[in-house]
Amino acid sequence: MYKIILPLRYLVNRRISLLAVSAVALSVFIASVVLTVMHGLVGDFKEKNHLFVGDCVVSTPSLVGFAYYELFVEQLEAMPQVAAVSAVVKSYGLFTMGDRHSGGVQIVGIDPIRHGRATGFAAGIHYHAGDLASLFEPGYDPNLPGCVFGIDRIFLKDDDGAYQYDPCVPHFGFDITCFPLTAKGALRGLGSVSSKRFYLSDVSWSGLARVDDHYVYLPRAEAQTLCGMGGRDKRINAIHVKFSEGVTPEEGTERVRDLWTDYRENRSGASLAYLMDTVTVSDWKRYRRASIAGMEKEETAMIILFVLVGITTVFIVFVVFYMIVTHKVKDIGILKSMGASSLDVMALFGGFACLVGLCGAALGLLGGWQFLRRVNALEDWLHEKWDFQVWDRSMFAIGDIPHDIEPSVMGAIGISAIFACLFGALLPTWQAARLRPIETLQANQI
Amino acid sequence: MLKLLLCSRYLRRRKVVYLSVAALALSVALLIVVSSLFTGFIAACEQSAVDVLGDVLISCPVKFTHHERLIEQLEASDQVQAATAVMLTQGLLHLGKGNVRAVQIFGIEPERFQKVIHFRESLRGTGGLASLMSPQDSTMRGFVSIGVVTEPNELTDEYDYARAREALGLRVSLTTGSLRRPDTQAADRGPVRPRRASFQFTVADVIRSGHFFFDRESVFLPLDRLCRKLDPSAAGTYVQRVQIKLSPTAERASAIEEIESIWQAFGESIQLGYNIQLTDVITAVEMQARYVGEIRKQMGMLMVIFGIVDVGVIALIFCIFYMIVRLKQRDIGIIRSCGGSAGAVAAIFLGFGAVVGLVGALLGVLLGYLFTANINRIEAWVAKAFGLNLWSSSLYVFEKIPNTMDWGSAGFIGLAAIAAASVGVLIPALLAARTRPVEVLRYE
Amino acid sequence: MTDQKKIIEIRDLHKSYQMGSTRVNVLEGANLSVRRGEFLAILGASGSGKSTLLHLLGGLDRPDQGRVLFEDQDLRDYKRGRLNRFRNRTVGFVFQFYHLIDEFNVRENVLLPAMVGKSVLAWLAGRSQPKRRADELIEQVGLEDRALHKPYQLSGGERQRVAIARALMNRPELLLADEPTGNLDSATGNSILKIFEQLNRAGQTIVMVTHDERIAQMATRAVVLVDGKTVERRVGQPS
Repeated sequence: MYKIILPLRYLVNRRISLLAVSAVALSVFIASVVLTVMHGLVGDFKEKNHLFVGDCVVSTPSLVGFAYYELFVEQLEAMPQVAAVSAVVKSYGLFTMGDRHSGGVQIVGIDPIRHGRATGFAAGIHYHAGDLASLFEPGYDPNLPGCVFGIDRIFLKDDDGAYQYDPCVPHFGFDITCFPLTAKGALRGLGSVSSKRFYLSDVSWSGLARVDDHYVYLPRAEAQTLCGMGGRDKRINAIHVKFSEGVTPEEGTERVRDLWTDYRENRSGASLAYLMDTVTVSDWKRYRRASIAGMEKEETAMIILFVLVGITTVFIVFVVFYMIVTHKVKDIGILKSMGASSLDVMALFGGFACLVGLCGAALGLLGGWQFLRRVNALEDWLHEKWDFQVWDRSMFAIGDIPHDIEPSVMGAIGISAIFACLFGALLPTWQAARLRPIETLQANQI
Repeated sequence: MLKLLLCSRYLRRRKVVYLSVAALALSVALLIVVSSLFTGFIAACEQSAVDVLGDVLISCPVKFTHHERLIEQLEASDQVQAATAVMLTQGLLHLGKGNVRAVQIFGIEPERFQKVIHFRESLRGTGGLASLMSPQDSTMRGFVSIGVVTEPNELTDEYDYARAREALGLRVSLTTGSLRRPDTQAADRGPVRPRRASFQFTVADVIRSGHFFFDRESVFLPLDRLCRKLDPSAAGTYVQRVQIKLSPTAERASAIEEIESIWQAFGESIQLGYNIQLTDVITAVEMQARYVGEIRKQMGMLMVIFGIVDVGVIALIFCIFYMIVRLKQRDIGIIRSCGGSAGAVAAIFLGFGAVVGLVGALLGVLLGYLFTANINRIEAWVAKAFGLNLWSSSLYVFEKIPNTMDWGSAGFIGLAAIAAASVGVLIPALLAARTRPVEVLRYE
Repeated sequence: MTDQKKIIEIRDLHKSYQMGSTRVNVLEGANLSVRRGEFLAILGASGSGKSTLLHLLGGLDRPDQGRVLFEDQDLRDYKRGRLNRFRNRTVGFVFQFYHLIDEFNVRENVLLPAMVGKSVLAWLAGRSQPKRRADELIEQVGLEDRALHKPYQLSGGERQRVAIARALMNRPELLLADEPTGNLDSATGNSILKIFEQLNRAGQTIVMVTHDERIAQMATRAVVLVDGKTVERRVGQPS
């Protein structure tokens, strides 16, 4: 019983215990806030990537694309696990607008309705929201061939990160140029380029900087013609798939992979079958891993940085416990003279370490939770008073600072804090347990 | 002498003092590492901009001719070491079967260009640029940056040089966007027509600057031949940018002023009109200012966060010295009873604290230096041991983590640590000084 | 009143300590036996090994050579757990400097040996009996009004009474006191000695280390430590 009462008394009566509790609380507070924000940003980024590509992608990295996709799409749509499918053309092109603006673009040829069902594309459209059928019909002249640009090419952001939309879609014409490639990847003759003028019909937002700055969406048939992928054996570069509810991306992807393997085998004798050799089936995480890995690296780097902070905290706890044990050798001697074992002494100080960790973690997590609840209001106030933002919204594609508490993250931080305290107290506790009562109870001991 | 003796005896005997030194060293090292890495990254950003762009840029919204005259006038100034004109445009590069890349095309004057711009390496060595100067040869030659022909390895971030070498001598096709005539007010301005040009060139060299985004998409072609390809009917060459290397003794602000006035005069002479004012005369560093500002902000926030944690260390030092003062109260009483003054007593502990701060700070600086200097080795080891590639050029622009120690901030942090340790000791020292001998020497 | 049966005995005990570079021989062949109900005083000059002898008797330390026999069993054969139980239940210690736990009040300090001997569950299941015992002891030493006070709120004599009550908590067969009045004024010391006297009259076996002649006179038996050996002294004979 004294193993419970005594640690509680040490915590309350020994002021130095407050230092250890404060150090733990501070570290837990900082870690919980920063890691919640990072976790939120990473989660947000992953979700944007997920919405951008759907659940699964059947694709080839080659710009030549692959043929015989129409029947495969039909088979996919017939699967009960599949909710929607979108076949897509992807290539690189140039755009010019008058003589002032030009640049490289990623051309994406889509069927807007299908693409809106298979991915989160529909939610990012501005002027034709809810009406994807007329997406490529510019409001000012529906007969003109339309295109949808990534929003960062068209509109600027204000200081709060909000886009400064025009009330109606701007009347912009773009010359889009592309290399038409044969099925063997060669140019169709030296100097052969395809070029066509399109007119801005809408803008697309995905929340992904590279996409919103570089992508232009065209009607799939137009893109196929531009890229030399039309003709008798039309080609595409990717098929985006959304699974039905209850089907996980991993399970669904496995099914799609099996279907593709069979389909490819059945087409092995066709003239353009070799194009299917480079086709892979990936779930969205694998497909976007290059993009996601970057953010995950940031999160990992942040965790490592806070492990270093944690080491400093462990050290503080170690020194505090060292001082407490040094001061309490007399108590240890008394207890041992009464028959307490070394294990009892370790349990006593170990329990004290747990208590410090628990109190510190509780305080830190409570503080972190309260801070996160108010973090956006705080940033708004700082922005208003001192023009300070944690991230410049006009530069970074970030909305509100993420502040949703993730119980698993908080739990991990809390448990780590307790373990850190136990670890920090380990050596002093062990040394205390090894003390012989006779050493500690000598009259002139200090 | 007594103070010195007591100081050294206390230091050597109390293990907890070594611990407080270690805690201080750890926190100082952490701050130094964060500060050095960020500062190094910022410096690398700014330096890489200078390496690939020169010190100052004149960036005009429209293309202009007679740039040789402008270059001559600029190079006549003491402040300018060299200047070169560049034409920029976007293009699509076809490298082979199904391999198409969007690229940034630089039309350059090879001789002048190599005086202004510094590339880290080229596969053909310094002779590479000479291979662009082949006016008699009908074959156009150009060079490409390494990221155009090969991607860096996901884990090691190293480029595949063998694959890059395979691109040497390769015949590639390039197409560009539309090009209008120069926007001048000359009377012979013809009708404005969009053009598109497609042509082939041979890859004469592959270069690497160390800047990921620059290395990913750059193509360099001789200016005169590029202009002829893009607009065969145009007389002469035209550019929209002049990149300038300042002389080592140049004073930045006055150099910019001089360049601006040269530009003003030149623009008026070729009747550029309002485009003169629309032209940016800016240093490469200023171009990065906004991005660098954000990095500085992130650094500031991290330093504040770690600084707060380090307050815990100072509180620890306070507690340690408080404990020592309490334990040594009898000694203090003895010193006072022998005639020692309160000031002398306080001085013992303040000196004690300053030494702890000094030793902790020095150790911390050493630790910080060792970690910063070896961070790339540590990162490589982490990648090898855990498969965790923390740094990649596609994310952080540079192939290696900038690992230059920021001695300025290290010194400041060290001094702050000494001051903080002294502050931590202050109250215990005052308590010690106020101890009355009669209270502590009574037998109990 | 003494029972002729021996409770504890030491035979040819040797003990030395390393003091810096010097080895100090404290006990060199000490022999002693304690009978039940005895009040034994151990006298000797400062540094003669009195406290060392007491610590060896109580199992707080181990001899270099020789045997400490409790009811004819050598303490050196005791395993760690048994030795702990010996210290908890068989022996009660009273130290010169009281050695109370600062964070516990009087009652809790007295209860400490009972808490040490039980697990948390066992304590919660059966704490009423130890609490009654503690209250009795506190009353016996005259501190019933100070039961909830902390040690810093007590005088030296009061603290020593708490220490005595604590030592008696588990009804030890042997009470070991190391100069219990050494830190007290004579009046307070006398009151403490009276408590020991009362305890001995009630049958408690006491071994007390002292350099105080009054205690030697009060005891039923006295031994003197000379040159590391014990020498019997008749009560009334000067040391």
